[in-house]
Amino acid sequence: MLDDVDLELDNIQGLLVRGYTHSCSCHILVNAPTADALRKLLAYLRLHVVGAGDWGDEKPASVLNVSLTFAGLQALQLSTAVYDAFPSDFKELPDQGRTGDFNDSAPEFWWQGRFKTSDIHAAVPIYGVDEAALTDRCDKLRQELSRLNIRELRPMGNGDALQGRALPEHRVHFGYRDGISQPNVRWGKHGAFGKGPEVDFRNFLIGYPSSELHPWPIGGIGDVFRDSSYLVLRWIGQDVATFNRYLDDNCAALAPELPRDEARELLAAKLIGRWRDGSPLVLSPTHSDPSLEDANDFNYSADPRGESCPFSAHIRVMNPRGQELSPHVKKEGIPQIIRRGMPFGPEMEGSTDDGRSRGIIGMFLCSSIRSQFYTLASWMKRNDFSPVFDANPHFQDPLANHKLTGVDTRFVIPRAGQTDCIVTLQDFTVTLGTAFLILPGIKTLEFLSQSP
Amino acid sequence: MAHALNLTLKLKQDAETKKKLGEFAKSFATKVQPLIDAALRKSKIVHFARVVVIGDGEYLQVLTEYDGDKFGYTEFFRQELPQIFGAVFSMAEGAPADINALINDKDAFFEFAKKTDVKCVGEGKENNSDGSTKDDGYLFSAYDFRTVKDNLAKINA
Repeated sequence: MLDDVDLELDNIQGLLVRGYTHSCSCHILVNAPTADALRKLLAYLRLHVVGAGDWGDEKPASVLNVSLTFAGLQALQLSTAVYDAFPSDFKELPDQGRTGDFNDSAPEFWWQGRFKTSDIHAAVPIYGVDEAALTDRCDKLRQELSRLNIRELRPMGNGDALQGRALPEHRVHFGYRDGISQPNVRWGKHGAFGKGPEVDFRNFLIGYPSSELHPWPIGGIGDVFRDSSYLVLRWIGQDVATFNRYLDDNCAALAPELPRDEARELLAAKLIGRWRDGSPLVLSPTHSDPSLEDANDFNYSADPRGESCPFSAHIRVMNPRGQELSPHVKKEGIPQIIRRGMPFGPEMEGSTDDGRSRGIIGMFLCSSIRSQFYTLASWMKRNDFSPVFDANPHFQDPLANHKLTGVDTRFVIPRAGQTDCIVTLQDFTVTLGTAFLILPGIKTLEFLSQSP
Repeated sequence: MAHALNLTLKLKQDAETKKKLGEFAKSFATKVQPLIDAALRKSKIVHFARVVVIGDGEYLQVLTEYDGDKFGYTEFFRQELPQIFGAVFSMAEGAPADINALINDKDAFFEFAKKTDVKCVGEGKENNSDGSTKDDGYLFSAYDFRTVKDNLAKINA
């Protein structure tokens, strides 16, 4: 039974509670030369940061949120007690072993080699209803950065910042509608805004310890950081040409009886677990169904053999709803995570690469990097979280890095009344950068902007 | 491939702790082992495990080889064997005074286990789906990347 805490939505940064529908974004990453400069920047940002309170009828032309790395917190020269209160997974740089970021995805190549993850003190995601609104907000921030002599870190090869652009119909570069599978968070007394089983807000917010969930920091420092959340920034490149070619090359093996286009779409659905219009495979196994495109209240209990949705399909790995979990993860349960993000780079079709960079700027919000983000990353990297994989715990999520030792790159697609279809996975994505940040509550931001 | 846990606790040397250690060792086979055994079998992620006391009760080590993510592994045993870990940690120098708070807080438990886990010498293997990196130190496995579940599946086939 989830309690009815009276959360102060205005104190929670909007990005956590709302999925913004603005059409473009820019993630400004910064490195401050002094504690004083960073505090002044935070004081400036405090005036512009948007909370999660009701906007009313009019969506702001631009919205801005603020997050800091542990290096950023250290740069503020706070007390040792503050630093000691944070969990090690936030304090340390992202662990490539746990994320599977090797080969082309290795941290040594992140940010296009233009700076290191450890250089990042803060990330400021800004969203705009259009380019003009976004540019206006970014320019104002950049004027402030210049005034404070704060360096902006720009990872794009052409010297640009990370900039996202929404694609039509909320799709991402592989063609799928995105942003559907979100946890239905009960925000205390404010209730839950979605459908499906409700999820305790403590999976995303620090500062409200209960007997079951007490994410760090707790105690006095937890009070200071109340209404904060951890934000994992993942900059992911997507190889659309390879993905399209893969569908072309393998669809006939899956469904030789279908016209080619239909077989391609079926294979695309089997890899991810939703048809590209968003309708879940488990609810509509043979064709997409627009009436189900936003469906998020379903489980896999009626699909025990994976004949509708393969066990290793992406959304089934990320949330094996109603599926038996292995003993070593059962008590902890399925990690919940809020996903925000926007594609970057131009659209392309076909299977000939155009040499342009494209993919997704992802933000994953949670109250424990270790038990939520890292756990899900480990499940992607190796499907060993459910007894359905006991005979072979080496299968992978199709979106994982497959050039690892100890993996089985076969993707098994069970088919009712037939032998399984087995295709061999390839790498479709590359990690271009990762950073762990904290999205402070707005009063926390105020505290951080003041001298100790 | 599997990971090594080298949990190494410097034990308090006061009379009460020494007595506690003596009782723990004496009752280990009959009272502790069966519980650990049951949990390990249930987990299907631990290859081997043992507990050693070094010198004249100066150190206690929990040594295991296990599969998968370190947090998942630590959290499972925190939940399955809280009394045993509570008893062991209560004898350790550097453990918080409130052992119950340590046992009941998954982050506190993980951080303490991490702090007391001694790295193997040498370099670990990288580019591995099991999450190891060079920093993990050297661990040899005759089974390469094969897991407990792999081996059990073959044995029971």
